[in-house]
Amino acid sequence: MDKHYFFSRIVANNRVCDKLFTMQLKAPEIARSSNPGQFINIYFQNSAKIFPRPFSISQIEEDIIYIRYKVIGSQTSKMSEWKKNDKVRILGPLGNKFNINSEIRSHILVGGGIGSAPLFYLRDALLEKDLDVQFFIGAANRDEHYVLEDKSCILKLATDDGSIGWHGTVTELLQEEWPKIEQPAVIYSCGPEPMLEALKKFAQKNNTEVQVSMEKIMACGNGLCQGCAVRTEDHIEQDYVLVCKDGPIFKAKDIIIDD
Amino acid sequence: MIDLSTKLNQDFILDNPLMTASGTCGYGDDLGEVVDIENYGGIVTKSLSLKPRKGNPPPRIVETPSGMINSIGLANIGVQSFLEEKKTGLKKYSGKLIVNIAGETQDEFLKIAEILENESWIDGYEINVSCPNVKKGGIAFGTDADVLYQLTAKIREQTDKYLIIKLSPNVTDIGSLALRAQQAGADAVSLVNTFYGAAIDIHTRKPKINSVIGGLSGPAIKPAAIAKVIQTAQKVDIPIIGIGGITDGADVIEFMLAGASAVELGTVHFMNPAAVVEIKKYLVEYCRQHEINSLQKIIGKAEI
Repeated sequence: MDKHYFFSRIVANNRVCDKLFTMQLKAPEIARSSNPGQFINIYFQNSAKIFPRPFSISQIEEDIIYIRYKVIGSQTSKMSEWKKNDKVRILGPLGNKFNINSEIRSHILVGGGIGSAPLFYLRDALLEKDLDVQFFIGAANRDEHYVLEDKSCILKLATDDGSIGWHGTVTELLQEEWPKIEQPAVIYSCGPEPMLEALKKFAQKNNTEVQVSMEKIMACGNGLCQGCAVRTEDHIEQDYVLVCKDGPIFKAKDIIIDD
Repeated sequence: MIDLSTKLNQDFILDNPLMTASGTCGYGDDLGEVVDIENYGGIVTKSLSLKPRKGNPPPRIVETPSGMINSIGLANIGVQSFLEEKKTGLKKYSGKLIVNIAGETQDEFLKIAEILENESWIDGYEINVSCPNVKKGGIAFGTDADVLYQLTAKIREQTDKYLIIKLSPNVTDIGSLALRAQQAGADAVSLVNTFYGAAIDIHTRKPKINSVIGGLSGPAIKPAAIAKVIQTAQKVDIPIIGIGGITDGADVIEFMLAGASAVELGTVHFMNPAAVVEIKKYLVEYCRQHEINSLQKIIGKAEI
């Protein structure tokens, strides 16, 4: 089986701040075979809410995978109560991966809120290749940020309320910094759809590739149900791609983000 | 040794009564990346149309209490690509392979069956006359008894393969429709396809799926599906394949007691992709506990 479905043991489940958590799961086979951009499904023994929930793989450490999550609904609330050594059913690795081109001079990571999750794993992979990484993260306020400093690469923060870093959106911050970024550059991003849409427009203007990690409601996470379709940016013949299988990583120019 | 096999007719015996429900397992290959498909007595493919179909615009699915509503719109690769891309993989499967067929017109159904007829690795057809999510064809064939009779009879004329008619629950009297399918020569009926369902976002006031009304599936519909199986079992002699909200082995037993000779697993694949393995274990345990050597002895044995 290419995709591993099993009961994983929770190694740690820590509150980082306010509603943000980091969970470590023992998953040797997933840790060995996954790539930045891929995700796992977490299954809940819940007969009322039947879908699993997808989470980006946020970091790998030997045979442990990390996920970063924010408590938003009843399922993430349940997750926040899980304890070390609890068993949780997961499936992964799922989806495609970020495409890394080592010829590119600057690798720009842009995360919005909890959307920064998959970018930490990508950062690690880029740094391992000795590439030049700049990490931009925006959030509502200081408490919604996972990291306030990063010794491994350039980190620039933005907050809506100005409680730390740039006072405004992360896309505005990127625009401000853009002239200082050595070209050619590529942008990798994950976050709310309006942010991805803004990046798509920005990149179009600046003739830069943007890879976006998309999120849609999914039932299966592996191509079975065809529920997570997004429209492709093809004006001649309308077509769809699946976030779970063809994605979650797409070139922004290829899809309609905010349908 | 407990025998889980179920005989749908002299030449059509499933190793166990568990099949996949169309549209929840791809063409067997996607599901095969997660669980060994040899666990199933039969695989029913995603619906095939003559030409590829792109499906409906998003949003296509929504989670509802103990279930989901979908409006995928029969997105599929079409019969030609199916033969080109999926044949090699599916030929290795040793259980019964059923191709689900969905046409917009009677001619399209017949044409697809004609193209597949000489493929000896395909054991049967499941005729989808019950899709609630397409504008043409679909459920229209499954709600009018005469139309259903004519379509079934025509397909019967041109095939020797096992012929299953998949029925919609969105009718007044499912038993009479099943009877008409039997009279037209169907080997079995499978039921139920999804119930009509809708959900509205109370803040935006917009429907939660593109087509407004879609198909409801999942544990929420199980009691309603059991009722349809009981009603149908009172009307027909041909085997019934039970579908609707099965999540565990106990549910399978319940469908069989109600009159189903086999079952299809659908939405459970999203809740637990390896459900088939656990269900098979349960079926063996149940037989042991109730001192039954052959599972098919319980078919229709609910004391009604």
